[in-house]
Amino acid sequence: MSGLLASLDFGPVWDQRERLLSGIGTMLYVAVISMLLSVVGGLLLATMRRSRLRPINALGFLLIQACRGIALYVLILWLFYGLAAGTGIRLDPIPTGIFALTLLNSGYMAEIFRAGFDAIPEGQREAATALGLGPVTSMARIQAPQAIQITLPATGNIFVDIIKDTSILALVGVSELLRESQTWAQYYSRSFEFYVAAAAIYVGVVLLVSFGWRYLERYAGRHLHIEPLRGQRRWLFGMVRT
Amino acid sequence: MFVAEFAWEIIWDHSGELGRGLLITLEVTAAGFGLAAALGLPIALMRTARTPLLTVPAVMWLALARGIPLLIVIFLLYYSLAEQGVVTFSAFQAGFLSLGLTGSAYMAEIYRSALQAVPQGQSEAGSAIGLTGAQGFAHVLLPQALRTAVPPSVNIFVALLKGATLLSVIAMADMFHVAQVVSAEQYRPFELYTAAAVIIIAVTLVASAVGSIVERRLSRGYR
Repeated sequence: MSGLLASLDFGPVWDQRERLLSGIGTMLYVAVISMLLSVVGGLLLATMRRSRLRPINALGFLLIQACRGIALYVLILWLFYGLAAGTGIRLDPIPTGIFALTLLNSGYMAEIFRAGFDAIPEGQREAATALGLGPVTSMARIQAPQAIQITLPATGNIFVDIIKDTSILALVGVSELLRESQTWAQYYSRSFEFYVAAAAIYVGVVLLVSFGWRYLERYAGRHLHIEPLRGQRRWLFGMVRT
Repeated sequence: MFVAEFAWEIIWDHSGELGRGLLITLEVTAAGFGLAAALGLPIALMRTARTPLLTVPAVMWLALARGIPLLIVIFLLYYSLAEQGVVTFSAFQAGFLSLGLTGSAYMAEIYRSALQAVPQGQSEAGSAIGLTGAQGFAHVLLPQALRTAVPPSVNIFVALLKGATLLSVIAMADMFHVAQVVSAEQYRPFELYTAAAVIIIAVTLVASAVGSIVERRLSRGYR
């Protein structure tokens, strides 16, 4: 065991710090864009689910179930290799990853938004109507702001999971953090050091984002009188939420 | 360029291999889930303990297990440990360990909230009838907490099932690995990846459905 520790050499990791930093950049870039798109997709799916038209409602249900049921790696390979071979639609690795992450997480976001809108007391909408606000104003000025505050904690969990899930994009050649670590681990034959470093960076980023998000929640929820929707973490890789 | 000719019969031709792969996927998931469920309870108890000697390691474990992406855990266990000459795991061992270790943090959180959900009066009632702390925990608190913990645990199982598709990168002969190999041999990625996607969605939906049935059963007679 002491031999193991003595043989460790993190020098190469430090030498490649710039590559690893650029990997973190790619990771965050993909994660932020996917998160923003998932919010849009989630709102769209949630709106479909709230529609009174049966076919639209049913389609929304099916889409949400399919999005939540698929594994991210399967989806990425289906998009990247399957779709290219089957239809000739060829996507670059980064757009593939963003599209896959968005699709998967739109399903989760839709469920969060649905619960969030349900959590707003009926009286709020009635009060808006009583004040003579139209449906659009009521949504934009009364319901949406409250829904955003209620769903913020659960959205933070999704964001953390998206950040972790970007690691899967390494498998189709996106040079994010894990891919860079993999490349240099092979170059130096020092996989332990590089993977430990990558793991530490992931943990650090996840902790930073979680703490930052907590401040955001407190700031955004300062007028909130409803219990925010904590939800549970979306478990691991593209999983089902409680 | 649109390739209009699909060869869906290829899936039928390889259905035996895919089925065997799916069995391996389910086996490694079940083993990983078992490990996660076994480790989760002590971690949850350590997390809620009163001494920092226990809570600090538990909090650190939770931060690590939830912060490190599964793929890196797989690489570390399978490649790095062997490279360092510490221990050489087979793909299945590395797979079930990485699923179990990562899942343990999520199971710990489930146990923790389930234990907290048992009303205070229950443990008080336990000590009132003369049970020791450990007896009260084992016979009064735990049975009730486990009941609450079942439905969210099903979600962990489903999550691990999806995570198990990542084990194809270390060439474990799971369903998705079979799909990749056959697709490379026959050059039919569209058909095989579509089949893999449909299988995964179907299995996860079935597992979730079973979970909600179990949930309804368990909540019968309880409020």
